[in-house]
Amino acid sequence: MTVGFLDRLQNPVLSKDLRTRMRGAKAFVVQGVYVGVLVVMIGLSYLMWWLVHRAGVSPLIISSDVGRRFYLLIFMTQAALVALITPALIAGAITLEHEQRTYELLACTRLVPRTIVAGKLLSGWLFVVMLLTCSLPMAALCLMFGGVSVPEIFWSYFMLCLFALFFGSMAVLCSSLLKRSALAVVLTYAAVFSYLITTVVIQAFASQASPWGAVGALNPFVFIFYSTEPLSFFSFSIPGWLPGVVLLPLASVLFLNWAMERLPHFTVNRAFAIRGLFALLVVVLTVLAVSHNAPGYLIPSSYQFLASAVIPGSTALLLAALLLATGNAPNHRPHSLLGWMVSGLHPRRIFSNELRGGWVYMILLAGLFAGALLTNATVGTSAATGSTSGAGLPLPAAVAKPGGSLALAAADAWHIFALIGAVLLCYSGLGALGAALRSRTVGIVLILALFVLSHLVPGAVWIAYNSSGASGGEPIHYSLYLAPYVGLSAICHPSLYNGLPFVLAPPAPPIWAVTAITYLLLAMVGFGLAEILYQTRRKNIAKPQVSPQEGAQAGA
Amino acid sequence: MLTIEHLRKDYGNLTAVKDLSLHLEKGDVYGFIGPNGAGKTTTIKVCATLLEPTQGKVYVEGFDVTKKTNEVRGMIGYMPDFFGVYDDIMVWEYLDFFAAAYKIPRERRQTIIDDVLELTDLTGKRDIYVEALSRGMKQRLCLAKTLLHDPKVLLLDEPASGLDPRARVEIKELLKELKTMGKTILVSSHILPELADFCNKIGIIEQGELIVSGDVGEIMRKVQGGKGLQITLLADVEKAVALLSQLPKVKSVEQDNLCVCVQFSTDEVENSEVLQLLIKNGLQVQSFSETQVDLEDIFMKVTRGVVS
Ligand SMILES: Nc1ncnc2c1ncn2[C@@H]1O[C@H](COP(=O)(O)OP(=O)(O)OP(=O)(O)O)[C@@H](O)[C@H]1O
Ligand SMILES: [Mg+2]
Repeated sequence: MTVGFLDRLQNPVLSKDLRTRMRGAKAFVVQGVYVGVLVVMIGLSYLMWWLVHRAGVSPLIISSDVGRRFYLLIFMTQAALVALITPALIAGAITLEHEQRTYELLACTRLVPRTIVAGKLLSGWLFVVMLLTCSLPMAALCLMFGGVSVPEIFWSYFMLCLFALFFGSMAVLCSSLLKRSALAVVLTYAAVFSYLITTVVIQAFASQASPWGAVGALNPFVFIFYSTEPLSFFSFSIPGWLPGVVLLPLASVLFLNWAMERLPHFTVNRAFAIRGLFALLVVVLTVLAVSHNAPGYLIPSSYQFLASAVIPGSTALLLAALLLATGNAPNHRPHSLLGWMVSGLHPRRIFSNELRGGWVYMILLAGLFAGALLTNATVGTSAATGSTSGAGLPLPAAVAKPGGSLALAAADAWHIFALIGAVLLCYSGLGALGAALRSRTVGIVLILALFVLSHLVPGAVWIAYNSSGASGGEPIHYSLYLAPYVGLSAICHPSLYNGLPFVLAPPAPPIWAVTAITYLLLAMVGFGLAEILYQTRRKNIAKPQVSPQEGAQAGA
Repeated sequence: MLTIEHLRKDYGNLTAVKDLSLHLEKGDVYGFIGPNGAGKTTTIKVCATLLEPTQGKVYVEGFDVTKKTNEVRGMIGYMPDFFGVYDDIMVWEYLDFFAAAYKIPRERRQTIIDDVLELTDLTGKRDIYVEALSRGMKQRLCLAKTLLHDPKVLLLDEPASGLDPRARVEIKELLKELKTMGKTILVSSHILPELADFCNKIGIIEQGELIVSGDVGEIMRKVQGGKGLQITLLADVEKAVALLSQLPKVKSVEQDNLCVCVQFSTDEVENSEVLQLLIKNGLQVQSFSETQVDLEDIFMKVTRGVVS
């Protein structure tokens, strides 16, 4: 009876899952298949290489060549296996308990969500780590051939473990959000693959010089190629593993907190952690995204900048508003919805799960995003002026010296803040409207509708204009002003829309200003309508349906 | 110990439980009876912190189940009507897992597990895989799990459903034993005689409403409207019937072979006086007893609308 070690983990879920996971043939079959796939890949590769190089080249070069080849092959395969196996292992963790009808018994114990979520994640993760160690002999083989260093192999393993943790957290989240294992597994695979593809695409757009950059370092397949190469962080250089080591655990903890909050039959409020971590993630990711450029490029070009940081970042922010700017109307039915949203704004409430703090949080996010973009201007300026010592000049200095070649001047950051802030505020208004109409879900639907419309319609109009060769200037063409990305790209690349019939002629304010004002007006309409609707329906909101007769009985 | 106040639970437009109130003292065994879909499971799940009530409050030892969830979970033992077990786990490991989940210190777990295994008669199955147990044994294992943390209140949702008669009797014996241990028990069933032996209170629920609730004897009186006596004689049954019919407050006298059943309209009848009357008149009384409450009868009468 091996109670001792497992029990010392102090997590009954983890020790039980570890114990049962290794029982029976399943574990050995998975292990066998894992090693088998690696062996077959290496064998085939060796065969191919041998067939091609039979003619004979200098044996010294050949050896290190083989080593490098094997190393890449082993770790590419393992990265793929980690991305495939982790969701399958973990996504069913909680849904399976529903399906086996064991979950209620588990929920009725004195376990807290943290223990359950951590136990489920770690039992799967440790299994993946165990699988990874199975490939150690093969990795050692690469070392023998040469062409690859010990640190390279170490960091590759280390990062694969972190990626397993990251994917595993996504899986636990899906598992606690959904009721069916099949759905949870599919959703996790969708999330994992969109993550892998997005990071590659952003990296590809961001830098023509090299696929190696901060965003690339967050992709396991890219990382393996450059595992020990330093990254350029503005004009400094940081180890390539740093972005992953910082961001992957941060994102994992965010997902795990969310999973805890949504775990059925438990009521814990992790909103503070969720909103706080999300804000932190926005800052770190944006700074990393604007900092990355291949060595030799001090400042990324406007296009790169746009593609790598501004557009993806703002899109992610706008989508986050779906969850973070919405909420339900309060149960106690105060006299005014807006009054309630403005009053009692304790700092903690900004990070709560209520509708109340949402709009302040939205403005805060816009500020953090623009501020993080601004680091490009500050640190970039200090680098350009030669004062690379320390962390760069303080902000006022950057405002004073917007170097002509900078992709983003300090003033531009303010414009981005105004634009994104206005859009987020408008989404907040829609969230309030949804709450007044019915619930958080309605708010989410309203925001999603506006998001899709404002992103698709201008694009469609643009394409139609290009293919038809029409003269433009029709009212529909001004829908361009609705698209946040148009305003953003005009800020980053001022000449982009010059002289087009889509935009108002020069005496008119710049695109970002028109867009921001439009969204602010929309926000006011949203909040105003929400208040009016709330007033007319106040009596019914969140009021349980009790017939008068029953009400009288209950009162008696 | 367990207080339910004006509980209401809606599923969309369907009201599963309507304005249900009840109160259980320490040591009470409450039989919760009702046909399928009456709302028994819904009520029990609310008590077990697994469902949010739409309205009303439930307190366990004064703790609100929706607010002090973790404390309440430590005080109740819940056995669902349907449940599953984990794969690849042995009986003792299963219990050890739950014991740990209930924060029982490691040193005490082994003895507690042995105790509950003994109580549920599963000692021999200690090292058997859980999925290999029969249905009845799984049911008992679940009960064993429910007892691990020595809960004060037991919420048992149809603990004997799907069992063969023998296993039913065994579960019943087990419940009686728990009763003597002084636990407060809320047990649901749609089979009445199952509960008759050991419940001191019952409630009958139909379509979400508690139609009758209270002391078993009280309810019987409410339904039957008075005391019933069952007398067996050696001979002269007709004479006995005539005598008994003349007693005050007699509702009916029925004769069945050598047996006479008397039904009074009140409870204030001294058994000894009746017996004396018979003996004085030279009748040979072989047995003399109060009629047993037949829950099935109550149930049929109540749900037919005799009492409402
Ligand atoms: N999750 C649910 N969603 C919608 N309706 C439900 C749900 N659970 C129960 N109900 C409904 O609530 C009512 C009460 O159900 P409940 O399970 O409490 O009955 P019960 O008394 O336990 O019945 P049984 O004897 O069959 O176990 C039923 O009409 C049922 O259809
Ligand atoms: Mg039921």
